[in-house]
Amino acid sequence: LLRKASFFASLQRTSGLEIALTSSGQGTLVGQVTYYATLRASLAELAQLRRQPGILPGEKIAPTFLKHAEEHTVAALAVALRALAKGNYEPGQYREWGVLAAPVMFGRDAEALAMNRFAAEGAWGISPHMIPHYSLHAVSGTISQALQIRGPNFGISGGPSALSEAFLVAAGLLSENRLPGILLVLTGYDREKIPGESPEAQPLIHCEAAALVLTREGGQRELRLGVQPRTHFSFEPFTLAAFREALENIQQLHASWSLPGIGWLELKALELTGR
Amino acid sequence: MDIGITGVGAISALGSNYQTIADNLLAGRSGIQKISHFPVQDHPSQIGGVIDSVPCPVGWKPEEFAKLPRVDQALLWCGQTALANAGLGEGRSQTRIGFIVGTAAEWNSIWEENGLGEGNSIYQPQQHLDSVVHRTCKKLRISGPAVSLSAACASGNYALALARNWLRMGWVDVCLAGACDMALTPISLAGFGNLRALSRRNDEPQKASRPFDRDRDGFVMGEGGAVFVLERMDQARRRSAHVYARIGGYGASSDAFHMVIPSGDPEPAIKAMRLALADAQISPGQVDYVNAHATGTPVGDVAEFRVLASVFGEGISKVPVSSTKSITGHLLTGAAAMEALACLVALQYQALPPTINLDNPDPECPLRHVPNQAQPHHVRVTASNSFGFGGSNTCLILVVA
Repeated sequence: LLRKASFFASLQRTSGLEIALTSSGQGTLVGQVTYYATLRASLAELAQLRRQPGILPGEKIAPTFLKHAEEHTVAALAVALRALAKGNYEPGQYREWGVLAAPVMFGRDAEALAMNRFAAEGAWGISPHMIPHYSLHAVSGTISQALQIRGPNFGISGGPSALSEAFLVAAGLLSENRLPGILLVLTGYDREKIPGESPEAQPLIHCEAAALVLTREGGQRELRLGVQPRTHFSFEPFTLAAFREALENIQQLHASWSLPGIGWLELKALELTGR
Repeated sequence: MDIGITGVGAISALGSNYQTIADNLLAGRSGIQKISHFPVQDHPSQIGGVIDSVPCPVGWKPEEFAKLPRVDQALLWCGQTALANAGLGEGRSQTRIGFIVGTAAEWNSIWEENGLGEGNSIYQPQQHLDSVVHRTCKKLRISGPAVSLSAACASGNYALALARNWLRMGWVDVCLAGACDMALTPISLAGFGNLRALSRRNDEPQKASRPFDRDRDGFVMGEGGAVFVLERMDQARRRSAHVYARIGGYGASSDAFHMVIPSGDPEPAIKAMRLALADAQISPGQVDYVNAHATGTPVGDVAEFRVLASVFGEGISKVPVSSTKSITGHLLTGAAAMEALACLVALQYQALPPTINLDNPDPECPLRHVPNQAQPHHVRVTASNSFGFGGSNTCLILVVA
């Protein structure tokens, strides 16, 4: 734990970018965002990603692996693969990481379908895949299985505040200093789907996703994650779309968002002095 | 920095407060019954640990409380009674209180409950502004950081571990942490039933949940959970709070094998237990009681035996092991929290809650069981295993305060 002053001082020395998350309380936690990736996919593109979410050297993901997966899970695995690919990791390097997944309004489509089938067919109309693949543990569990990651894995929120909660959880886990890395994946739609409608009928809807590789210490630093006491600034609400766009335009970036009930998140480009 | 548990709020088929649940656990009194709050004739499993109604907490109008979704009722009950139990019911305006809850079926159960009542909230996501943990924080007038998480049945152990971290980081002075779900709904019962995970011993509800027994045929769903008040031990002592136990340590890992079936390789779960013991600086020989995850599925109980046998080695014949799911049913996301409560009971009463319905112990699970009746035992350290869908393995060590 570092105090705010030392947090910013350390950023100036070493970081190309900073990402700071505030929370109520006295401590500041500093972590590295070592690699990241973003994704924006239409429903039609998600259908393609379901068969081929991406390629990572040393990993074999069968075309049917995501057959029963919720669409958030498809996007999450695809963006996770991109982040890992950027890092040129050997498979053995991430086997002991943790996986955290924060999907917004997870499982709504599947639940609507299940409710309709239950009304029409009764208990036998409910898929046995409903619980394993459409409950909150499913996104992180699927990534863990796909990439043989054997650290802790769990889902965060699944509701409207998933994105904010994700950073609180990740920082709490980083504070232990027990894991060599954490793969944090955020997913959500830019506008919510209409359950039961085909992708063709909803061409304007996109799934946004971001994957961050977080470490407490790291050699190659592009971003830093900090958690520090709440301040009283008022910023725009945090959205996944804005976060994704910020990451994609990171060279000229200085942006801050409020996280309701938590504090604020800041993303800032700095001069590279330590690389 | 040592963190202790100073308050407990809970609800399950066994009762709606710590004392009643403790009494029923030690009496081995099953909470399983035939499900009657919705039609079950075409469900393969028709029994469960049902909560008939959640009591209305002090200060709430019963007619207003009754309008809340059931998961909101349960979490509000657990949170408010936990704070009161910790002596923090009043005069806590200057205290930074966080809330971490394991809950997986929040949205599914709310949408389903609403849909069965002819509503269509599932098609109106713009109505959903807050998660249950945030709604509950507002009702309890606590304003610290709050999150919900799910590792399925292992969720409660993660919640307690994360709360310990937040306390150590200085983010909160007090943290509510636990897990709760009200998932005994028509669709989830059908989902688990069609997975062939549930017992079909519908004619003998109270005999149906039988972990480690040769005649087990699946688990029995239950609902509810528990919420604990966590705070620094020095702070608890300063305000003369009763400390139920100290959080000794936790460990977690993933099988990375299958979303439902436990791995044939016991190493990941062994690692979770060993990490927990190392975190607590406890040797296997110091563990006085293991509350097993054992749900009563043919595959899962044997897999856990292999884990325990490896962790305890020759000591496996000495350490008492029981599964309180035989009494409570499997509370799903709420399970780990309820089993942490069972460990508190063992520490407080110096007695081991039994595995009921253990009439014919499975020879493939040769453990030192606590069959059918509670046993007096010197308990200073407990280990609670909780494994979950998605391949999660967790272990929580509690130590006498």
